[in-house]
This record gives sequence, structure tokens and C-alpha cells, in this order.
Amino acid sequence: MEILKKIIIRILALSLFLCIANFLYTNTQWKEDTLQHADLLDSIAVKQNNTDVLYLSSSSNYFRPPTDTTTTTISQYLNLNYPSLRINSIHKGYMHSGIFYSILENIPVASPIRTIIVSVNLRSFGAFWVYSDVESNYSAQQLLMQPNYPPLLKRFLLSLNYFDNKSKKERESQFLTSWSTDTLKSLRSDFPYKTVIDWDHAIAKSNKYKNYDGSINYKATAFACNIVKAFAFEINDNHPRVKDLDKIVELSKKRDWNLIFHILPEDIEKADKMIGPEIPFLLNQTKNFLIQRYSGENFDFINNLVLLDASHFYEKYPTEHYNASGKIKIAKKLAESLKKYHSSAFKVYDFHEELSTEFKQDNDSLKNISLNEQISKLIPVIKNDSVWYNNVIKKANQNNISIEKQLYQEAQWLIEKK
Amino acid sequence: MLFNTIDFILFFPLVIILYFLTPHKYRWVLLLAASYYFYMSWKVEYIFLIIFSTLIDYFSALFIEANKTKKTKLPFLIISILTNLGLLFSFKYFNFASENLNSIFEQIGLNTQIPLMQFLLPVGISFYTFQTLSYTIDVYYGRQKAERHLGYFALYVSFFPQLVAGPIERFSRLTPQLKAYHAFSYSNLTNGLRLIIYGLFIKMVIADNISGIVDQIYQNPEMFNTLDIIIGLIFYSFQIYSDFYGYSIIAIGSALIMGIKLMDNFKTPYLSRNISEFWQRWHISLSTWFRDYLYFPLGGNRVKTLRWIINIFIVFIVSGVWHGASWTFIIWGALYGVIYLLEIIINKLLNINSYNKVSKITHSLLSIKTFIFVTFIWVFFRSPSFNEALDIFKNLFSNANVSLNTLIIPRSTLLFLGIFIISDIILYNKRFDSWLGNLHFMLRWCIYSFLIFSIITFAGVENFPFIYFQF
Repeated sequence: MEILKKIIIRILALSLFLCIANFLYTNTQWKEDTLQHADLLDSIAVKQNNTDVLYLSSSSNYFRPPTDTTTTTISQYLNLNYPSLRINSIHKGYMHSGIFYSILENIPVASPIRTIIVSVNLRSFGAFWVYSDVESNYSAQQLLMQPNYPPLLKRFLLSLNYFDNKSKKERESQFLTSWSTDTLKSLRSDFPYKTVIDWDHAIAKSNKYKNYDGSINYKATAFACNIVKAFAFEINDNHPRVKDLDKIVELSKKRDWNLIFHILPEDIEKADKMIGPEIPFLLNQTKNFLIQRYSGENFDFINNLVLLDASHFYEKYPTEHYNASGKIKIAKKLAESLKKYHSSAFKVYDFHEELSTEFKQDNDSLKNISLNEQISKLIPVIKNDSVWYNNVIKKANQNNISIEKQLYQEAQWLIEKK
Repeated sequence: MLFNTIDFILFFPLVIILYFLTPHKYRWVLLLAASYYFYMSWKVEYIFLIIFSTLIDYFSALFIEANKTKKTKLPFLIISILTNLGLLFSFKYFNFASENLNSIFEQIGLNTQIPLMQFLLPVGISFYTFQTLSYTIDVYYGRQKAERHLGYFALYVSFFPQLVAGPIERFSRLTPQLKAYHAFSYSNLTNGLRLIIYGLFIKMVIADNISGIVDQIYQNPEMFNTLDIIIGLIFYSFQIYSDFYGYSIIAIGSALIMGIKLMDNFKTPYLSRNISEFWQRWHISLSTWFRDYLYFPLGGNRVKTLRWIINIFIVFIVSGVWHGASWTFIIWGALYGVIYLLEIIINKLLNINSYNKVSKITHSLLSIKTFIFVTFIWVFFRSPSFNEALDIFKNLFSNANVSLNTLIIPRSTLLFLGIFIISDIILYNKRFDSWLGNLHFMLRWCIYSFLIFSIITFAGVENFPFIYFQF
């Protein structure tokens, strides 16, 4: 009995200590921890109070091809059609509907946000993205973004790795397993490849992609393989992204937000040309599934899947990275849809100026900008990419030249290759 | 299941509660089930490896004991050794051996290539195979009677607190405790929790926060100047110490709550005066294993000088090989052999018989000397390859004026590391739980509060399994 009394007193003392600790932690270290481990919370805090329309996206919103001179995002182009609205974006590479949901959960009830635009990246439904190694980081963010847990508990759970914290190797194993075991049932019965791995290997061995001199174009072969790995998937009701989108719909109803989903354009043209009709078929199937699922719901679902042609894409591997004219086209489509909720704020905007300078520079960049100018624009891009920059430093040491010289050579090689 | 996860935080109290509620007769069943569950949380299929090893050694020992002469006992000992080392070789060393053989075949123009295996290394295989080997060897030499109760033997092999990273316990020390009745003891509970909290602190707050800094240095040594590289090397010394020491004392604390006393595995090794003392204080269960089952059977120091030197190198190199299948581990072990012998030679030349009665200043200087040797040798332990280890040294000695990157060390990391070093000095030849128990109640609770608050709010965040899990 005495021992039990001792234990109970200590448990009570520990509970009191934890309550005090939570108070101290929330008012001291918590902010620093969120900046370090959950920077999205900071984005929400900054933007939620001065936003009418929130645009959620991955890197498609802001990625700037090296030959573009403008850094204007899709959401900023959209804002040109709605100058009286405060249109802000929260975007980060590899974000997907699961993270979007966590962001939306953290928007205070008092926030002036009325409309949410969710960019639906079909590539995010594929195994490589679902099991990508950035999921560990996002999973940690989502833990800290849980709205109803005390900060001290969230930090403790983070310390205990109570999130989907897998190593790169484990994640690789997950998507490799998915590619090996998930069969593509909807493809025609005589299609020879039933799994992504089979298809990928077949393309790699096919020697189908040739240079002008007849030699094998390994870069094109790799690109083709990546198209299959990125887009050869089928979804159903149990797909995690589908469930995330469902949750976004429910939350929007509860919070009385206007909701727009828009499917990001994919380079269907290239996929068709390089692989065949199967990839466009699978992408359209995914798109149709989503449209069917969410039709009848009281929100807009914009299908921008085939909005752009190959000239709008910038990619070393299949991505949703667009040049300025591509972004403008998307923004125009979104602007039309947004009229439904904010018709009085709509203003016609002539993008001629943006298109005439930026688009022209896209197409004429090689003629109008000297090689040196291009190189000087590309060098900061390389420096900002830490992995790329580290490799440049290693090469400089191996070649026994200065880093500046190596950077110059690297940028020059890239531009001349393009 | 790692100790610093929510799974263990839920698993362990449940096991403890059930342990003390279970009648003594059936406690071994509960602990064995818990231990197997603990192991299966990594990879279910690998439980069959432990079961296989357990059965082989259980029956080998019985047959060894049933036979009267060494000649008739020997085959069963060989079966046990071959099985355990065979498992170890297959999962841990096969690919290393194959790669090297393939390289030789290529050099001599042979067209043969041995294919590599793709198995994941079973967690703790180096620990439990050595633990069971010690048992069969002891039975062979008549030092230990064969265990007839398969359940208790299986529990000895798989007891979860020390299953995957030691301490490597001897059968004669652990099994009687597993068989004995342990009533709930408040002092065991408090001491055990003290050790667990301290272990979590030094693993999660010290080791995990240092890890990122060390990785920066080892991944890109050319980007840092000499001072930063030195800091990185020192930090690694403390990273591996706090990681492994932290794990060990969590294991000891967990077992202590159940009334089972595991051996201490670390005794402030960085305060050692020489390499010989270092290996009496670092990973004690492993070094004593090698002493008893390799060094002594080779003749120890009761042989001619040249043979003794060879014995020393064999023990250190095998110890290196035990740690990993790579030439860097072999070099790591060999370097210890070299330093060990050099120290003996120097002591002989200077007529030094013992360091036991040196002044505190001399002790400090000797500890710093030992720490420097150990820190440099750790480079081979940490580096994935020999070339990368050489890169570290190359940049260490040539980057004095390089100022590409500056190592950024959070003040909190420095503060906690400083606290850990001071606590290690204070705890010289003492254990944390007993030292803490002697403090005033208020001071004790301040320390608890500090440790718990630090664990919750300052623990490193990334996927950091315990370093010694890879063995």
C-alpha cells in the first residue's frame, strides 16, 4: 500500500511537471522547433490572416526553368485577374493532398480565407511519390501540425519517431515492391507488361530511342522509363491520395470554404510519342475516376490534364514544371473557375506584356541572350541546389581547378547540351 | 522495436505489469513470448534464425554433456560453432568474402564470379550467436552444466533487453536470475527507471544531435577546415559512446526493474589511462568474451613473445571483424593491436609497472592521450571505406586555411555534450542510479526534471537507429 501510494504521488507529480513543462515549452522552444521541423506551420501563420484565396501546390506553382527570366508563380498570375483579392499560395516540392489537408486543418476559424484551390498532381498518386523519401520529413511535419495535441506531446512523439519515419532504403523497397507486384489490370489484355517493373525493363532493353546517327539515345531511354515509373498506376477508393482528397472535401464543407480542385497538366503528348497510348490511357483513367468521384459535389473540378503541349514543359524527368506561358495558361483557366465565387472581383487582364517578354525570351532565349548571360543566370540555380553544388565542388577538387571555374564549366555544358 | 520509440514505451510497461502479475512458474513463458515478439517487430521471419540457433545449441550442449571424453564431445561443439559462425558468415560476411574473391579471380584472369546475397542482416546476430557460443564452449570445458529446460535456455538466448545489442551475458550469470523468483521491488523500479531515463537522454539528446554534425564532416571533409574536422572526429567519439552506452544502460535498467541484474558494459572508457584499460572499460561484455574464448585458448600471454604478439593481433583483428565486414574494421582492430603493443613496449622502457597510483593531473593527461588515439582510430570504424578514411586524414592535415564551410553547432548541442562529459567524469567508477540515489531528494527531482524535459524537447529528430544494431 505504501509503495502504491509512493507511485501514485510520483505519477501525479510527473503529470503536474508535464503540464508546467508544456506551458514553458509552448512559450519558448516550440516556435524554434516548428521553424526547424514544421515550416509549413509558419507559412500558415503568416498567410492565413491576409488571404482570401489560398492556393495549395507542389513545386509546379513556382518552379522556374533556367531559361525563364520571370519568377512569377501561377497563383500570382491568377492574382492579376483578381487584383482586389488576396491570393496567396503555400507551396513546397513534393507536397500532396495529405499535406494539403494538414495545412487546411490548421487554418484558424477566424481566418478570412474563403476559397481553397488545390492542385491535384496525378504523379503524386504513383508509387514513387507515395513512398518517396521526403515522406519522412512531411510525416514529421504532419505530426507537429496535429491541431488538437499539446505542443509538448507532439514534440515528444517526434522524439520517439512516432511518424512514418523510414530510411531511404526502406522507401525504395516499398516502391520497388509496388512496381513489381501491382498489376495494371485495366490495360488491354494483350498488352505484354502487367507490372511497372516489366514495362520499365522492356523499355530499357528495347534500344528503341536512337540519336540521329543511329546510336542509342540513353537519355531518351531513361526518360521513357521514368515516364512509365511516374505514370503507370491505377487508383481506387482506398488509395491514400483519394482518401486525402475526400478529407479535404469534408473539411471544406465543414468550414464552408469554396473549393476548387484542378488537375495539373501533364506532358501527355510526349508520353504518347515516346511510350504509346497506354500512358495517356492510364492518366485519363485516373482523371476520370476523380471527376466521377467528385462530380455532384458542390465544388469545381477543373480538368487541365491536356491543357498544355510539350513546349510548355521543362523537364529532365517527367515533372509538372512549366515555363511562363504554361503557367499563364493555367492561371487563365483557374481565373474562369474562380469567377463562380468571386465574380465581382474579376478583372480582365491582358497577359500580352508577360507573354511578349517572358514567352519570347523562352523561345528566343538562345538567340537573344548571350552564352555568358545564360551561364551567369544558371550558376545561382546550381549553387542553390546543395546536392548539385556539392558535386561541383568534388569535381573541382578532382580536376584541380577553382570552384568558380568548375561552376562555369558545368553551366556551360548544361546549356550547350540543351 | 527500438528503445526510443512509442512501441517500446507501450510494450515495456505492459510486460512489466504482466510479469509481476504472472505466477513465477510461468514467468519464463511470458518473457520468452515478449522477447520473441520484440525481435519479430523487426522482421518476422528472422525469429526462425534465433529458434534454429537455440535448438542447435540446446541439443549440442546436452550431447556434449552426455559424452564423457573430449574426443566424443568435440563433434557436438564443432556443430554448435559451425552453426553459429555459419549463420554469422552467411548473413554478415558472405558478400564481403565474395567481393574480395571476385576481385582476386578478376586479377588472375578467372572468369568465375560468386553471386552476392541480398539478405538483410538480422538485427543482433553477432550478439546472440556469441552469447550461445559461450554457453556451449563452457559446457564443453565442464565449466557449466547443460540446461535441460528448453524454455529457460531459449529465454537466455533471446531475453529482450539485451537481445539485439548486448551486454553479452554468460549463461551462469543470467540464467539463475531468470529462474529465480523476483518480487516487485520499489528500489529496483526507481533504479531501473533512473537508468532508462539517463540512457534515453544520452542516446536521444546527445548521440542523435551529434550525428548530423558528424555526417556533414564524413560526407564532405573537403569542405571543412582542419579545426572543424577535428571537432567532427571528437564528436564521433562521443556519438558512438553515448549511442552504445545509452542503449546498454536502458537494457540494464529495463532488466533491473524485473529484478535481473545485467553486467555493466561501459565504465567511463574515455577516462582510461591506456588502451589496455580502455578495453576493460569499453564494451566490457565483448572484450571479456574475446579474452575468455579466444585469447586464453590461444595461450594468452603464457606463450613465447612472438606467439603472444600474434595472439594480441588475432584478438584485436577478430574483434574488428566482429564489428563489420569491411577492411576498415580489420584495420581498426589491427591499429588497436599496434597501439596496445607500443604502449607495453614504452612502459617497459620507462619501467612503468602500473598506472594505478598516478596523480590526478597525470591521469588526466594519460586519459587525453588515450582519447586522442581512440578518436583517430574511430575514423576507420566510421568511414564506409578505406579511401574515405584516408580522405578524412588528408583533409585534416591539409585544410588548415580552407574556409568553404563552417561547421554550425547549435549551442544546445554543445551544452548537452558538456553536461555529458562532466557527468562522465563525476561518474568515474560509479553507476548513475546509485549515485543519483545518494543525492538529496530536491536535487534528484531537479535532475529528473532536466533529463525528462531535455528528452522531450531536445531529442534529435531523424531516423537514427542505435549504431551497434548494424552488428
